[in-house]
Amino acid sequence: MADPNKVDPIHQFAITDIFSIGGEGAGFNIAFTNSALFMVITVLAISAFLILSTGGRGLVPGRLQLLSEMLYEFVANMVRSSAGSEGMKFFPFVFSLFMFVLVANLLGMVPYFFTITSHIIVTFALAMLVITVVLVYGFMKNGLGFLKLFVPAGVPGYVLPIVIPIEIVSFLSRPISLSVRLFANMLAGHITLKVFAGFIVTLSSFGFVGWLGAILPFSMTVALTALEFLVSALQAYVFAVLTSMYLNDAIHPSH
Amino acid sequence: MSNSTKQTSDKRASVSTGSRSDETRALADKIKSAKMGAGITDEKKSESHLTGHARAVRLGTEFIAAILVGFGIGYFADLIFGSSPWIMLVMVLVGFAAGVLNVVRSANEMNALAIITPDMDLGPEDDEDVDPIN
Repeated sequence: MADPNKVDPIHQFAITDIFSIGGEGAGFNIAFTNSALFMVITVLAISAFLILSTGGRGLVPGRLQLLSEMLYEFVANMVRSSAGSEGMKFFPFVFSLFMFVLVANLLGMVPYFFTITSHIIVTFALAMLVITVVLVYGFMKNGLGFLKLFVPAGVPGYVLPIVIPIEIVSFLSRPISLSVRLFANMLAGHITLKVFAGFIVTLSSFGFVGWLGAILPFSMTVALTALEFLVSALQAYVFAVLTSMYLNDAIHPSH
Repeated sequence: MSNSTKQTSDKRASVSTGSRSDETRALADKIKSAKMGAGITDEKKSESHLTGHARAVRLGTEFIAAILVGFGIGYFADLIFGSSPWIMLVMVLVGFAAGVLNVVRSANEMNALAIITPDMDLGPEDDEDVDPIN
């Protein structure tokens, strides 16, 4: 980053080992990477915030307690409106996912911080967790009746051989679209931000005229930063809404 | 024991709300009418405030993901059965259909959640005569 003509917008996504257990001789190698470090930071930040803000248990909430109560109500309303009151048994699951994605996205906005949701393996793991919960709970609650999800009501028998594979592929595409959406938004946003910020450095190496010209990418960077905060919150919200909608399918499989 | 005390406390709570209910109801009506005047509705429209960009990304990924899944299933089925490329071709078409289905479903959800105000232009009515030439 020191050379103004070599701005590398991808460098921020590099994974580095902080320390590792095992190694060449031990036959296994478990590395604690910067990605893992930020996951730990995310979880610690959420836990600390929720425990500290609700610790007072005031009947009349203070500012911080009000904030965590609003987060609770926001997610609870979302789960209730998409999955019904039966879906409230999944509230802890949806709330954890929402908070994890939200705080991870927002922490990624801090300069020099690592954005864990910009790696598809992280978002794909989260999406697979959602789909696994949907499948396991769907079969546990409805038994084989869960397979009705793939047979739309009111379809004549002779088109079923075409409709069922389409419905199955449509179901299997859910974890992909869920993970790709979050990953692509975070990756693209951070690259755009870095590229525009890099223009400032490159232009300013041309002397005074460059400095004047650098005002344009600078104002763009300011605007993009605001947009990225919006995208961070929005994508966490979309992830949680779709999670509760998929859970709704597991609870009431016939659509 | 603890159950009975809980019941009595519940009863007391209901009594106290009962004596105050007219007052609170009047207040609730007041709040409601004030909100109506300001154009705020209490109804939860979960996705209606998404930006256009977020909606576009949602539809795009729904479509692409289904095609990718269809391609993947077909590709690995071909590897197993040694019938390259026929299952893959069929499954890509199935994936395409599933992608269209996904897009239609999410568009329907978005339409159902959209807030329609009287001043919005929703295009011509169905029974309105539209001359296709002019």
